Amino acid sequence: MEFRITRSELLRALTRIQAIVEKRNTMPILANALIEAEGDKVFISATDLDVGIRGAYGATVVGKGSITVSARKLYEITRELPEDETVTFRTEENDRVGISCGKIDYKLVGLPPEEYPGLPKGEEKNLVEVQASTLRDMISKTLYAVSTDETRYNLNGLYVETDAEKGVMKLVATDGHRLALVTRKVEGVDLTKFDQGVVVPKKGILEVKRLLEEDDEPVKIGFRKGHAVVKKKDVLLVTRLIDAAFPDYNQVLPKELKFTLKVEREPLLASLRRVSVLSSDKSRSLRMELGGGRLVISSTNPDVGEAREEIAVDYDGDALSIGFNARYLLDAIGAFDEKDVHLSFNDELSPMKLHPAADEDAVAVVMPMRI
Amino acid sequence: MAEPAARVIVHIDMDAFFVEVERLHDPALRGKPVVVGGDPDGRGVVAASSYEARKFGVHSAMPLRTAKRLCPQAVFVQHHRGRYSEASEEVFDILEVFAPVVQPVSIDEAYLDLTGTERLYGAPDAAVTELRAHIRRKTGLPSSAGIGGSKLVTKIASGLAKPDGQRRVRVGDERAFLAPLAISIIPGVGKVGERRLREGGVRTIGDLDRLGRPRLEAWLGESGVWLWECSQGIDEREVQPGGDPKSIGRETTFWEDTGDAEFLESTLHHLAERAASRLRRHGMRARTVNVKFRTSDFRTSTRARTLKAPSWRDADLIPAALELFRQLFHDERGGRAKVRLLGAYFSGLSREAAQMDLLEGERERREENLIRSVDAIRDRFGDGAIVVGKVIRYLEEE
Amino acid sequence: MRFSDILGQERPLEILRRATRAGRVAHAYLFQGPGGVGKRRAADAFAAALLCDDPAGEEACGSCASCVRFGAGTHPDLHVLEIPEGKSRIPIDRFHAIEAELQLASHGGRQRVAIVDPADALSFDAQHAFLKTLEEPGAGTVFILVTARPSALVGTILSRCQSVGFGPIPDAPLRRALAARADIDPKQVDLLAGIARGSLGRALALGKAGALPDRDALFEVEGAAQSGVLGPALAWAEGVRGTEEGRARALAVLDLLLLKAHDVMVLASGGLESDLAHRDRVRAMQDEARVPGAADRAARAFTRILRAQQDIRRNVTPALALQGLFADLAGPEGRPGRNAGGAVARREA
Repeated sequence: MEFRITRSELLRALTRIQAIVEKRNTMPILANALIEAEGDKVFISATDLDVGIRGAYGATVVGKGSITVSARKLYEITRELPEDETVTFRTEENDRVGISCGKIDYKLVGLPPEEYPGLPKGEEKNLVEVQASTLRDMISKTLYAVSTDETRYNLNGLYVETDAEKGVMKLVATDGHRLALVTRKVEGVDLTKFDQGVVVPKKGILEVKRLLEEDDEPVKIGFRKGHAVVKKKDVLLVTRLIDAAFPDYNQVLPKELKFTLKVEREPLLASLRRVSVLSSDKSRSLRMELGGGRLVISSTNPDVGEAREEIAVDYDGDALSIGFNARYLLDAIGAFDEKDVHLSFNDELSPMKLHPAADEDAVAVVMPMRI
Repeated sequence: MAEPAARVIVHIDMDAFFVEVERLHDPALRGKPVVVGGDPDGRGVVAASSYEARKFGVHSAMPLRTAKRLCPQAVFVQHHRGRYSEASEEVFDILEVFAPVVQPVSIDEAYLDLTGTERLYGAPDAAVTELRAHIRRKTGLPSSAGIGGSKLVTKIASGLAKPDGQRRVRVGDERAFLAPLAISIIPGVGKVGERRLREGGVRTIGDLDRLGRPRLEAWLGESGVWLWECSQGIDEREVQPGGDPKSIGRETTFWEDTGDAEFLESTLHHLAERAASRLRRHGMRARTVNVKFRTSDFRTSTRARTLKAPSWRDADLIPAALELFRQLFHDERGGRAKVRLLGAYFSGLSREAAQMDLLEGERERREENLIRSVDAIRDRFGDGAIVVGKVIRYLEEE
Repeated sequence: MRFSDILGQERPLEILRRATRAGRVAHAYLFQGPGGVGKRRAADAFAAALLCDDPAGEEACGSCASCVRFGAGTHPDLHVLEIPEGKSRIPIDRFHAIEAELQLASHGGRQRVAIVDPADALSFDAQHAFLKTLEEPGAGTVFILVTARPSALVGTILSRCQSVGFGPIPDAPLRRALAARADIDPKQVDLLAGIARGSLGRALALGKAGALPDRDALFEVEGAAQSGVLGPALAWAEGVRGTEEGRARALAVLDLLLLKAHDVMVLASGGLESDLAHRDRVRAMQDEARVPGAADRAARAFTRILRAQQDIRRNVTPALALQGLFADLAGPEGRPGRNAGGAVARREA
């Protein structure tokens, strides 16, 4: 195998896979990138067995073939090469690789490509196109609520659901204490081609997010047979799905809520942050007291002191005093980006629902704390 | 400014506590003079004596030989510390449910502050009558109580009410109540103090009152002021709640060492359930579950597990205790050990705010209501009345 | 690895072949039997056949992409749980890693195999966690538990696995296999086959470590030590070096001593000569077995030798471990101190 590629194109390829390359030493070959040359393209892949990326990059291929070589070393080498240069890449005896750029020469020890475990086997059929901005927004409003508790593994990812009739896609996340749900119209795509209700692990979602942050290029996505596939121009990303049922989130979405409160988002966030400084380290609890046209947020930490802040609000419901984990409120309200936020609730022991005032399709639900 | 409402304080004191506990274990002791302490021919001293024995002059801390000389017909029994602390826990469980503030004074004595409970319990006399009857029903033990506006007065009143009685001193009646009483009845006036006062012609509390504060102060300094305040029934000390327990648990020793895993598990289940109920009564959650285990060769092993989050739920605590037991039992000669003592303890206790579960929220609420009512049923009818595990299972099958 | 490479295990292999052929593979297997008779090799062959893209009958083809990765140890749907170097059990976090893996759909979207070898190295906690995994079988995952000590597994695990029993390898194929190996001295084949008692693994370990030529000298110094003369044994042990080969040799030497202690116990309790490992030395051992209390002493020696092996695995210098052992075998009169260090100190002084 031999090809020539510009430094910038090679660097782009290697940057893209750095986060995936396996750092743990369970299987040494996973530290390598799989490099394949064919036609006028070079394909560069990496996988940690859960997530895999394969990208196609423009190159002049002199002889086709494939090899695997340390992704980290290759990245460090490429980064230090002079800009605007062309890099020549060729395989030699015994799975060795020669890299030259002008008068610079490297020799790297590789491993045979046949031994590379390859990307998870996702189906590239029946993909549907989604705007990058839409998917980005949906992920950023839900990702924070994904559970990190490994024993609740069915919650360790984003739940994806589609409703072909209404033409909507939903993303849901919960850790058992709070829940985030975003519903968005997906124009002009055939959602019937999706498997229903899949859970994409957080690790995979983080890779998808990275891909979406590169540019505004639309992506094609599909969920089939235990794998999620995301395709953007010349890149393919495959992630394995969590093999477990997601809880029935509709059951925990509060239906009728007695009291609602509209608050300006930025000042509320600032108050919460100020008061949470003194919330107890262990429970992170703070208290929201409502009544008499005001909202009082307070926290007490027996070892440190207490904090209290009053916000004038338009509220004429019952007097209530509810405890919350400060971080849950900050996460939920912080993920919104509109000017005002609605908070609705029933009582001290029932979940509170939050959403941007102008967007009822982005919802957060937070369960109170007993205080 | 309005006068603050008068305090309602109760001093409750168990009657001849050790003796009565021994009588629970051996009903044949009832009605007889009983001395707790051990061998009457040995070197020990009297730990406690029944009222029947006291009539012969027997009192605590007296050498047992002297007691035997004074009252040869008395039954002498061994001292069983475990029995007393277990009975004491039961009594305090009741007190803690009953009164907003409980200050333990010793194993068999406590101050309660019932201020503001009239709407709940009615007049203090009736409430305390009911409390004492309840203690007797649940534990079989008699008690006496003093009711009043200060610790000093109630302590004296409960002493006068013994045995098995109660006495109330209304706010404003303190001076009249105290006046005829000998000065030695004031807690803190020792033998020396008493002699000195007598030398000055003071015999009763009324004498103190008549002397008046300036003269007492000139005579005895700060002690004089204090004595004068006592004579007026003035005692501002508050009922201080006892500190939170560091751990809560139950254990049991078997009559006969046993290797029957099923029996041991069900015993542990019961112990953990009782300890969990006590935990809830304290309004606390535990982060760590401990199991203690002594084999027939007197080796003691303990093992602990930390829960994901502090809990007071049977559903979190009991399975953890059982799991720990299985490990201990398995590691102890592959499950062939004989067990002498078994216990379940909860530690890492706190009153931290607890995050409620969104997915399990509804279930959690129902379970909480259920457990609370089971705890209430147990307070009323005893631990054996109902088994939570079965009730929860019933809830699940619904 | 192929079924046909495994010696003298016709019956268990037939069970596995039949299951593969018929496509009726159980969800969990327990491969049990003595050490070194091919249980793990059978597990590998079975796993390879299950994962092969193009199985020829019941065997893995050996050449498809799956088989190449299998051979290279990079198959994404093969998960092996073993004792890590320097540990004596399988840590619970290794088990949790496998648990996490099983929560995702399989990499290739098809069959997945998990081998636990040895399963008895799972801690009690891990066994209980494993039980939950067995109770909630994910589609398409086959577990193979390998063990020589099924009694160390909780009963509920045993009852959830299909048991496949492996026996000692019969003498003739064992000899043939040993004779065919380049790394075994042909002159030692008979002796090795006798000592290994049906375990190819043990025969190879003894043969490769070169312990066998040591045997006569070893037994001589050990015999002297047993009768209280410790000098020759200490000097002999000094000759075992601290290198990687030295450790392997020390472990093999200790295996020989274990077998001897076993033999003495057999003889002292009136067992059959055919059950002996060191059959060629039956005379000398019979003498030893006739001394009153011989069985008891041999049993004590057995546990002490096991401890010496453990010490070496925990990085105690082999010479030191052997000297400590000999000092203890010599009994109170031959033992100046309570430990190996004491024995060495006296010798140097």
